[in-house]
Parts: sequence; structure tokens; C-alpha cells
Amino acid sequence: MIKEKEITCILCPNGCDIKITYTSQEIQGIDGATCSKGNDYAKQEFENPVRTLTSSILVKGGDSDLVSVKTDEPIPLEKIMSIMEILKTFEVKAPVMVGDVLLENPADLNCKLIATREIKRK
Amino acid sequence: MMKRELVIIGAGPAGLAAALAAYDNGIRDILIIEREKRAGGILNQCIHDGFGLHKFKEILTGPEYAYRYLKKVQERKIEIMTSTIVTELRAEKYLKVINEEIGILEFKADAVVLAMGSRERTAGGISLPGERMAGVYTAGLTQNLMNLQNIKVGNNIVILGSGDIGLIMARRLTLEGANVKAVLEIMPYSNGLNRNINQCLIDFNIPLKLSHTVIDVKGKDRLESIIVTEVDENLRAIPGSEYEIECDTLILSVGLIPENELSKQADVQIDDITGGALVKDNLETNVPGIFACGNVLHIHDLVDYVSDEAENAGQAAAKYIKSGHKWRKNNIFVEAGDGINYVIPQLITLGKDLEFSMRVKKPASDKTIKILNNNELIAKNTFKKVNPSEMIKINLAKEKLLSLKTASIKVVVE
Repeated sequence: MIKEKEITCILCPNGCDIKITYTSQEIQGIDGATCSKGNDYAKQEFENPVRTLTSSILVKGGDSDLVSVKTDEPIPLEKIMSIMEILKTFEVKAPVMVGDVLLENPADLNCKLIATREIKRK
Repeated sequence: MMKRELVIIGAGPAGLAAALAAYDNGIRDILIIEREKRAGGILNQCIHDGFGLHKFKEILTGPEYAYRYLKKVQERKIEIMTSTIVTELRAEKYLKVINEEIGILEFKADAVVLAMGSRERTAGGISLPGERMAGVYTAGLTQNLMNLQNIKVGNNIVILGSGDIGLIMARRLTLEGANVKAVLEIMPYSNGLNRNINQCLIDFNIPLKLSHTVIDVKGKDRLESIIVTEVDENLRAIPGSEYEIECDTLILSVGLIPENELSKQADVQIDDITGGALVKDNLETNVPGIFACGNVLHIHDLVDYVSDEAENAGQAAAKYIKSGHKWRKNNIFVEAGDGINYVIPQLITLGKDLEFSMRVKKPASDKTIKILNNNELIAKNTFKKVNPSEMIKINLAKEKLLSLKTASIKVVVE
């Protein structure tokens, strides 16, 4: 039996509505994306949804108490809360530059946590 | 009083991009005035990603997007005066400002770019019923408190309004351990982007309740609960549909208002619909030498488009400074017709390629946006989907305007 699933692409604000047709064994067709990235996204989203996590962590001795961070790679959606748990108590020292790697492989995931803001020393 | 060639009010995405464009078009004497401690504007608190796909072909967070522009501004040694607020702006391009350390300063500029951005509609702005106890915040304020000041606003949360900031905050609050009970939206459709409904609500099982609003807030010193009702197609409460939700925090995401107090002081004419200046196709206001761009002109959903618009304003300001004001001939009025909420610019001239920004009044699929003159079609674009939350851009080649019958064109959606 062929089934259908609607997926809204989140890669850009176009937010294409993509339709995936599938059987119990495999994907039969992907339709509705206006770029090839959308097709890849829909396939990924169907098989194993991943997200880039953005948050902020504590920074000591800086011109701000928080530095915003992101994962350099999208991570499995289901693992997001386990990284947030680690970030709750994680702390870095100023200065921090945009792009600095602050943490490698959090929660044993294959990604890095990088700074997205510059924090100068107080 | 100091003379400056170009003064830009606001160092957010619009101000930074306008400064770069003016510099790259030959202007060296540029001053950007910013009331916050750091440049970057609202992007500083928008730590989520989704910015820059159009400008950089990359997905960046807000602070990263701001940093790219700030670096270019610094490389060009363009002056940014932070912790400085403009208290007075006059049509002759006189500015009075107050700097935290220096005190009062006065400037006379050849040209001014308005890039002050917008502010949030508040509880008073939507006539939210009930008492004014603690626990009612706007979404942008919540974002500022959480992402810049490390302040938690509450534990059990309801969000009123499904604009993008509200959706983003639903996810952000959930990630930080709060319980977001629902997002309520008075309209029968969301005002946020689809992608945000997906990645901010559906990912975290947060219910979106369309055609719902708040009719009362309860609590003594702190919010304890809200009364919610369903509304009919005329947005009137349906009797008997009320129910109570216990919560300590209500977050309002109910729209942004261009911040034009200074513009009005300088006799800049404001459009009733956009809340921003009426502009010509070079983004000049009715006051010669005063230009407007970004959210102070009209509310954008994409920062990339703010940057584009600001570049045009910066370029036009540079041209004005170098060659002065030219009396424009052949002005054509642009009218928002059936189904269109507004169109920018409102006044165009012949002889150059044009780009229009517009919003539709309600969501629909398979629509054609037409540009008409004297009820005759001069251009059209078809769209699979149109949505009030998504700004639409339409280009018009100058050749299309060669044989106009009347001095106005009208944009309609059919």
C-alpha cells in the first residue's frame, strides 16, 4: 500500500510543502520542493529528523553574561534535550570569538558547539 | 554644531547595510548613531538560525549575521556612536543627540537615513482585558531577558499571537525547561512562517489554537490563570466556549510597530497602513535628503530583505549627497488594490527598473498578482501560495511603464 506524508521544509523561509509517497519498504517519490536541498531535507526528515540546536551558555568575565551558541552540524531531534541538559551547567571564560569551538562531541554526538557571538573581556 | 555628510539613525541590520552601501558609493563622512551598547539591533537577541540564506547562501544565527556586517563596517572605519539616543530630528536634517558619557551633541547632516526599526505592540496596544499583574510580557522582551540577560520569565506559559517571535520563543522557553501550554491565535491562520510552526511547535508538541483569544487575565500580584475563548469569523467571542488555563506567564506576540516618533518630528509623512514613511522608489521620504529603510519603513519577515532595502537607501543617500536634490518629473502613484494590504514604494518615477514589496490581506493559493494602469494589465506574477506573513517582491522592468494612460498604477491579487 502506498502512503503519503506532508513535510514542510524548514531550510529557508520559502517553507515548501513537500509530499512524500512511500510504502512499508521505501520512499516512492518526493514532490513539491523548489530546490534540490528540499528533496534531501524531506528524505532526511522522513527517515531521521535532525535540527541545528541554538542556545546560549554562561560566560565568565565577559561584557555579557551569556554567549550564544549553535551546533556546527544538525543533530537528531530526539537528542536536543540531552544537549540542553549539559549546557545548563556548562560555562566558558571570556574572551570568546565568533566561530570558537566551545565543546566537542556533547552527549557523544558527532558535532561541535560553536560560539555565534563575540564576547570581550570585561 | 558638527557638520556630517551622512547620519544614520540605528545600527541594526538596516543601519549597517545602509552605511556600507553609502561608503561603497563614495561617501566617507558617515556617522551611525545607536542607542544600545552594541551594534546589531534586534539580531543580537535572535540567537536562533535561519538568517542569511538569501544574502550569503548560508544559514546563520542572528548574532552571526550582524557580525558579518559589523566587521565590514569596522574594516571601513565607519564611525558608530553607541549608547547614544537621538532626541530631536528636524526636516533641515538637524539632530540633537545624547551620549551616555559626552552629553548633548548637535549635528547638521547633508542626508539622514532612518533605520530605527520597530517596537512591540503591548498589552495596552491590544486592549488586553483584566488587571495588570506581573507575568505578562511581550515576546521580544522575553527574548531579550532570556538570551541577553539570563533572566527566566516563568514556568507555565501561554503565548498569545502566532507571529514568528512568539513561535521562536515557544521553542526557546521549552528548551530552557519551561512548560509552554499553548499558542493562541485570534485569526483562523497563523501569522508566522510555516517553517517556524513546524520546528518550533510541532517538534515539541505545543498546541496551536487558531481562532482563540484571551478574554481575561486572573491573579493578584502574579498571573495565575487566563480565560480563553473561541472566536467566530468576525473575531467575536463565541459564548459558552470559554475555558480557563492555569499559567504564571502570558507572552504577547501581537505585532510590531515601526518606531517613527523622530520621523514625525521631521515632518516625514507616515502611511496609515504600514506605520512607516511614504517613500519614493529611491526610498526617499517627502523630506528631501531623508531616507528610510528596514522595519522603520515597514515590517519585514526576512532580515535579508532588510539588508537589500537598506543598501538601496544607502546608495540613494550617497547619490543625494553628491548631486543634490533633483526635482522629479513624471511621478506615478502606486495604489494597493483589491486583496493587497500595502505596496512599497508608494511613489515611482519613469525610466528605471523597479522593485515592489507588498503584503496580501489573507492567505490563499494559486493567485496572480497584477499591476494595472487604467484597468489595463501591464505586468503579472503567479504564486502557488500567498500569505500575509510573507512579504512578496515583484520586479517591474522600466519598459513596461512606457505607455501609461494615467499617473497611477494599482496592484491587485486575483
